[in-house]
Amino acid sequence: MNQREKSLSETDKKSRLLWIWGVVFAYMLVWFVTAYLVPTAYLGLLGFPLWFELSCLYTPLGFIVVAGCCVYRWRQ
Amino acid sequence: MNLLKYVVVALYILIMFGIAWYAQVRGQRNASHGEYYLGSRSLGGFVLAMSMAATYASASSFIGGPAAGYVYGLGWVLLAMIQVPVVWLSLGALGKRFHQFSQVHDCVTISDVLMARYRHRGVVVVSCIVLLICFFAAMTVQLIGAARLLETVLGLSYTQSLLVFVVVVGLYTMIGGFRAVAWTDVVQGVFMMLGSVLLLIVLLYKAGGISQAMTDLANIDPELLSPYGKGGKLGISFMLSFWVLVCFATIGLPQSALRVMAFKDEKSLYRAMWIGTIVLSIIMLSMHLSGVLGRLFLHDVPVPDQMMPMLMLKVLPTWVWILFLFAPMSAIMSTMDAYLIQASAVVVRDIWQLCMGVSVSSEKITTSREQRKNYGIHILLLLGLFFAALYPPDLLIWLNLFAFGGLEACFFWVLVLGIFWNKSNAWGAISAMLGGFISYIIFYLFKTSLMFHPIVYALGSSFALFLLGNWVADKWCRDMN
Repeated sequence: MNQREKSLSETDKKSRLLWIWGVVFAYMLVWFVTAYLVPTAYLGLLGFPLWFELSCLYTPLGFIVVAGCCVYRWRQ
Repeated sequence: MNLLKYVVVALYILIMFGIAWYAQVRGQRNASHGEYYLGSRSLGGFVLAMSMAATYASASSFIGGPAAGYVYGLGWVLLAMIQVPVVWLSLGALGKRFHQFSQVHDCVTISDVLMARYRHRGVVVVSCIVLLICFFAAMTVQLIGAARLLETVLGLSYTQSLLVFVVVVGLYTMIGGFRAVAWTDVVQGVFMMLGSVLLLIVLLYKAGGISQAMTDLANIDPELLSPYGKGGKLGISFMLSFWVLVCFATIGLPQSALRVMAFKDEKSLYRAMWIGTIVLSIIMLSMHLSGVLGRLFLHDVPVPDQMMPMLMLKVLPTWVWILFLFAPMSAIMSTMDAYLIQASAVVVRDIWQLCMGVSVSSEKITTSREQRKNYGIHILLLLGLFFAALYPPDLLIWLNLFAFGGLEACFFWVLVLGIFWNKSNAWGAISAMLGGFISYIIFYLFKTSLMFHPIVYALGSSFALFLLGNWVADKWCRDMN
């Protein structure tokens, strides 16, 4: 591996680490906003309270999709 | 029906032994400490994912957690969903760098990594002591839970149930080593996932659908549908603490770090991060939501921990109930075997090598005498566990309260800074480990007067002590020169 390739892979590693943490913090933020800022009286699509559907069903689902996209890219 | 119960449980036990036997046959080609304690670093993505998720989901995910859901309502499910990124983070954050380091330095256990990184026996001594205390306490408590479960379902006596459990988990771990632990985790993970989803579906069906269930819950107590939980107990500072305890700090759990050392290649790592996240999310959501729905079927539960067994007896037909028994049993087994293999590694390798002054490597197991020594220590450990669970000392039960957070507080900064900060040194590490563990216990004792969970303060102190110890040792070295 020459120097340029080596430094490239170093940047690559760093950017992946950033992504790993970034996705988690984004999840935390959305989890927080949907759980506490959505009024508790509203009902969601499935029949659970809206805050619950958003924070406990759709946000984790979104996390899994984004994580899947990251993994798909990195495995190429 | 009784006979059927025994047959089904025996079949489950046979599957575990079958896996262990196959793992041993596979591992025999390369009989070494590296194979026994790390499966020769050959874990594929799927096995690694299931192993991570199954190890993380313990008795508390199947018994304690849902019981809290029963008490607090949907707010507790919100808390449980904090654990969604656990596998992603604990594999990804240490990830490749940690794996490479352990490979280059031929490390088989966490203590090996610490020795290679910090080059100081003191670090290994502290790590061994904390690991042994925490693992032993945690295993005893898991064992007690498992024996109570078997006692209720099979109608055996407590001692007999304990014996069955110790022999099964002990033997398959001893025979097959880490490879057997990881492979049985896969089967156990599947049982856990199927069991928890099945229970949720049955509960929703019996409750008359989601909307009906929510209306009925609101009629019992509208606070059960609030993110703050019943009585507003789940405040934001409480939730933020749990983000630290059950999400971020899990990077420091030695049983997770060990799995980071064991994957085959980068692709397996990434695959495991994704699959593990899905599996853990499904288990956490269905179990905790089932706990909340349990409120519709049981109105008076004397001890919260009895809620799940009572609920299953009430809503599931008997034959499904027997199958469902495997879910919590698997959760306990998969957590316990992970502790057991590491505890045995600590005694067989780390402490032995420290006492004998042998160098650290993943050397071949060449003589049958050495093999016998390994098995002997393993059996002694199991006997100790059996008697500890038979006559549980108060001290051990008390120590178990600190096992999970204590391990995090002890190892988090030592692993993270050890890998990502070139200037970290042994004295920083020792002060962070001791300081983290001890301060966790102290903060825990005064937790009622604290705003956040003790783990937040313990991690803060551990970090400060790491920097302080590091700086003092650095300065001292410079002055000496």
